[in-house]
Amino acid sequence: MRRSIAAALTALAGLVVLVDLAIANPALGGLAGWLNQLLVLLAAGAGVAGALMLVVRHVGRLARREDQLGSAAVLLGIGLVLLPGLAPGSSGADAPAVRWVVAALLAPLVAAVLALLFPLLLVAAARGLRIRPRETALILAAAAAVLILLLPIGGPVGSWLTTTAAWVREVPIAAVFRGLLIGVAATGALTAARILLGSDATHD
Amino acid sequence: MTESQDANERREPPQPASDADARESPEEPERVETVQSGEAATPEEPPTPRMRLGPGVRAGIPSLALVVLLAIASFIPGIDLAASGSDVAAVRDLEAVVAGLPRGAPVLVDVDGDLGTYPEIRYATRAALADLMRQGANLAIVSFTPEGRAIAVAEIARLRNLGAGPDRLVDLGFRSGGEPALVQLAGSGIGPNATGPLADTLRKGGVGSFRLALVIGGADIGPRSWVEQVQPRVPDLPIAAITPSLLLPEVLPYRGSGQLIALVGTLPAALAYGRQVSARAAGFGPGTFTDRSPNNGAIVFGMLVAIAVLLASSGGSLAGWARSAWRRARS
Amino acid sequence: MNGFFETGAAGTVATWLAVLVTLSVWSYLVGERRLLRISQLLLAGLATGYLALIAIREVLIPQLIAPITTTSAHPELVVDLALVAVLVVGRWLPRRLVAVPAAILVGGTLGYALGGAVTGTLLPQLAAGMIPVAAGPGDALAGAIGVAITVPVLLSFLHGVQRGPLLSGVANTGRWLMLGGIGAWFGFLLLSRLALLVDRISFLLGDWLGLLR
Repeated sequence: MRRSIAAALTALAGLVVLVDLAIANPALGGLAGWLNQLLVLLAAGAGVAGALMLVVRHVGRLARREDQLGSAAVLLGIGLVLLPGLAPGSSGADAPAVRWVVAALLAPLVAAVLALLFPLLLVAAARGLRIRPRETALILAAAAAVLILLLPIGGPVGSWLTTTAAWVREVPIAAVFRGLLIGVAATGALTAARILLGSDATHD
Repeated sequence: MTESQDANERREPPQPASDADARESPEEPERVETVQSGEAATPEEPPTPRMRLGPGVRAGIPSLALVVLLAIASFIPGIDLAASGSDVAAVRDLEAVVAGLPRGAPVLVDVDGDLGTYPEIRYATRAALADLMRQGANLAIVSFTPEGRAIAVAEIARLRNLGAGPDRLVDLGFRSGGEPALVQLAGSGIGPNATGPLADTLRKGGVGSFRLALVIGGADIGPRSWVEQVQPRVPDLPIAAITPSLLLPEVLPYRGSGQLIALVGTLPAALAYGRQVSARAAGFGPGTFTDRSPNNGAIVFGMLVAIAVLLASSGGSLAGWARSAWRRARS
Repeated sequence: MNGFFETGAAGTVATWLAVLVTLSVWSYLVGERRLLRISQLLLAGLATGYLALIAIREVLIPQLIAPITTTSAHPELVVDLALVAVLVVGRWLPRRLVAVPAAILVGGTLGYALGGAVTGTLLPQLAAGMIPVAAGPGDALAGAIGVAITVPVLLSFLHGVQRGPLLSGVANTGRWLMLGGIGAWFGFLLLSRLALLVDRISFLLGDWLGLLR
């Protein structure tokens, strides 16, 4: 019973959106507009729910004296942003204190973690050869070719490289990704249709 | 304690705590020989402590060396990432789009770069914002991702510090939900959050009054989301985009089909665009653009390292594959 | 973010903090895992907190709380408020209740994804993949090459479909072409991450140590 109500709601929500895209009808448009606003609000609510669950979980861990340093770090991070952002008179994300925390901590942390990916990706690329050597070798060779074509070499060689780089980007790479986009869009559309029509029950 | 007793003790290495330690233990006999040959004349001197690198450190040495070499390469001057013909064309497309805007044209700017790729497009993004301001456009900035919102807040503060008032720049804030939020923008316009004279004007005109949508793309929301959700609902709104390199292959087909009217997506194109804007940037005010371009010396050095690693890794496999294919063809 | 630090003491402290967290994360390269772990947990807290902040201040308050509390002419917002509240405290509620807003969220998002994929990507890209009638010889050749690549890649998506030797061969070719395309994307990914790493190094050498101008 629970599954059929959820499945029915999923299908109904999806069909309202799809039919509104196809047909211009004032009543349907009003319903679709309300649904759209509800989706935006639910997405915001999901964000708040995530923060709430994280706080509850880590306060519990602190109380049980499990991984105190880690839990303190998480709660410190949440507090550093939420407290100045939600304080009375604060302008939220635009508040100087919040902007300061973002510039001093959030942005450098994300950048530092992701910057490590450059050397680590190279190491992982070499290791991937052990698993699927031929496929990985082709991927690595294609990656190397793209980087070679972007090298700033002067003279006629450099000129040939830049021309070739442009052609490779606009013809074969664009064609492969056009095929990928069409394939992914078609496959995604089929999967979404199956879920909306209830013939795929795994989403519940 | 005699030398021979010391040597005997060292011949029995401690129980290895890990595989790494076990691998290190065969070195003990070598050290004994070195000690015996080198310290025969001075038996009282303590053995030279030898630094043992843990497995974590050893594993990180290549990456650490790369970071250090990139830092050194940052001081190499005079290297430029040349723009190809298509990069130059991409830059011209974006310049033409901006130059074609009448003074006072409202432009919707979606700042949704992510913090992991924004440094690559920051130079081109600030160039575009400066160019739009110099052209006299009025900007409405919106974001659909948290990281995009963090970047947008910082860029808006920067533009306000340069003198962009509420008549030139309006902050539309953050909208949650991704695609539904894009549809909400397309259908309901700028919404009630924004205040000021520009916001009131834009609210009256609706989203159709915008002359251009400039999408600063990231991993979550980018030109593709705009083309799929906004363009079918607001087909007369031209969409231009600045994206990081890693999104370029995915977004190129939309430029090829004409769904995007301009796309700057490679590092050389971004640098070329920034230089063009810098040449005509305003002397002061929000049209100023004096940013430091990314460090080309270090980037080129990193590219060379990556090419060497990729070719060294794949070369052996591909050569072996080619050899066996040749043998099969001959037989 | 380069150039976002204010001048004065606040900017100096922010710069030093940014350096500290950057070096904490990069301590991974010298085998120090604990600092990286603490940094990652701090990041998780900051990111979650920031999302919650903007969700509350810029979406829930102006679009839900304020209209309900200031005017009485929004009965549908009461329903919205109830559903959002169920989702927020869903951890402590029966699953069948939480399934209602979750199902609506999933269904609506799928509907937008499906509609957008068909109208924004599938149909226009199929049209763009065709060679225009009035194309010059250069464009026609490029278009023919494009079609010759796009079709095998598309066919490689047909899993579980009966196909003869010709179709299998074309699909296999498409699979290898796709791998080549993914390799090209990997090259661009490396370039993006390299630009990020160089930016971080420039921050350390320039904004912090003042060695780069």
